[in-house]
Amino acid sequence: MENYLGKTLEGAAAIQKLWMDSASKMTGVLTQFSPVSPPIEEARKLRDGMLKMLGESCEEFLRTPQFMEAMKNTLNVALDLRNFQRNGMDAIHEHLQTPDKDDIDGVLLAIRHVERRLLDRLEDLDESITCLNKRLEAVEPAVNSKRESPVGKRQAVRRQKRTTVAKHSSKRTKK
Amino acid sequence: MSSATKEQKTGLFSEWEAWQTSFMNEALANYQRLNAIPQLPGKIEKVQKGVTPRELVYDEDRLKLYRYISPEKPKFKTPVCFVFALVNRPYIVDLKENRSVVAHFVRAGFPTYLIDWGIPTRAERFLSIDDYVNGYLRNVVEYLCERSDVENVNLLGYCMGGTLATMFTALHQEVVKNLILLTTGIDFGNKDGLISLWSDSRYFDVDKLVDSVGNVPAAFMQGSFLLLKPVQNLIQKQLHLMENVHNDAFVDDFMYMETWLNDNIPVPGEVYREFAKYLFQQNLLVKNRMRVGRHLVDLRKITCPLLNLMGKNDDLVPICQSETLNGLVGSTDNEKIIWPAGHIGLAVGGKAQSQLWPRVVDWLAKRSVKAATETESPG
Repeated sequence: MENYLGKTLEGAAAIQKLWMDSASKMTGVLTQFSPVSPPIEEARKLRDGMLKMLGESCEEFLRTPQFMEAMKNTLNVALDLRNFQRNGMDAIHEHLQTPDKDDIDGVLLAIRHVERRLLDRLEDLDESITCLNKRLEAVEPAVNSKRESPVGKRQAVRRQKRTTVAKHSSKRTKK
Repeated sequence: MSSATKEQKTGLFSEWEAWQTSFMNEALANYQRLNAIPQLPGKIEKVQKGVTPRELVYDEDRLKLYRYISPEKPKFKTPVCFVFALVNRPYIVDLKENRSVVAHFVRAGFPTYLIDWGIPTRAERFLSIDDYVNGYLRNVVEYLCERSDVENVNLLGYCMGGTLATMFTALHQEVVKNLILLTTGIDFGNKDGLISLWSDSRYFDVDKLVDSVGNVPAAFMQGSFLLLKPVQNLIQKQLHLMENVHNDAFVDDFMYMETWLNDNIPVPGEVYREFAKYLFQQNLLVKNRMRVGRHLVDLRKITCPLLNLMGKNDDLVPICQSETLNGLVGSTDNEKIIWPAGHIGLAVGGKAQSQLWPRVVDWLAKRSVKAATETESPG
């Protein structure tokens, strides 16, 4: 408890120092006032100068561990509150036997899981086809050259004749 | 009367005259300002979301792919595809007349396309980077290749969209001809940027956030962006509007910008978790250890020409988060431009529009395949 209090006080002191420095810088800007120039322009210059100082101090503050610690605590409290509300609602849903967030998320996850498995499988198949295509492409020149050779041509003619005869015989059988 | 006293009196008189003029001018300006205020709602209503004519050519789930219509025939065969972030709407690249990045590419004769990821609902809560990179983006690129009868396309990624485009290029280099990145965060090891600093795992429990809220709400993102420069965003901006409310050009620009800035959308929970955890907290991308689905992203596999555009005054993605990429890719043709502008000014700023974007278009034109003209085409 004492440690926590000490930490809080330390943080508060650091923030106070930062803002005091900022305030003194902003007052420093006021000393730049020149009564010779028209007052509207001067006022605008002073305002811009002060806002610039304030902006710099703010940025410095947003980088401090104290701010980040505060941000963390605020976010945690907000999320805890949200979760607390949700748990309450979940109890009501359970009692009424209606689906709650977890149920819907569960269904979504199940669909995603099936989809992922299918996509992975498709990707594997795609890779296999690409691989097969590559191998076919590599083999194709050799097959083509074989076809163009005199022996290959004779074999092709013989193959064609055989297919034509087979077609005719099948037609005859159908008749 | 001595000459010194006379001079003093003249000086005093001129000072008094300057004061008087200043007050009179301000009174007149205030009168004009008061008159202009009732016209503001009408001006807000007139704001358009995108100005260049476009048509929907492809859609998948929430994603929509638009083609920008040009009155002339395209001069280039390779299409340009804009990949936008998941946190905002993409019409910033086509904001208004004379502030449109898209228009530069359309005018130059590129078939120009834009991906609108759409607004995620609870159904998209479990979509991951893998779904966006290896799913949607890959499908879009395949569709574009088929449609344009080309083997690869040019990608232009903006902000988070740039990170997605970078991952995609590293995984599918064969289908990307040129890669242009605009204010893209890659190296999150440096904590110069406030967002990187706030994402530190000691202070930010990303799992707790995503598990509790699912899709990260737009208001959370908007709040974080506003907090980057609270004084400028919450005080100075409004003061400038009030001071220039009678200046039509200023108000017009202001309304368009504000409409876009306040048009945040939720980020799919899992994507947010992966970005925050693996990029902002563990910085896996630069270590070539980022996993997208079953694939490992190796930035050295990017070998296409790369143009990396960065804003000198960018407070969202500081230069140090972006320029590292040029040294990590395998491309020999890689260039970077650091432009004196902020995160959004780099796209829509007046100087960027008149000087930077023509330069970018030239860069791309030199590296793109020209479309066959009618005399050249067979038959």
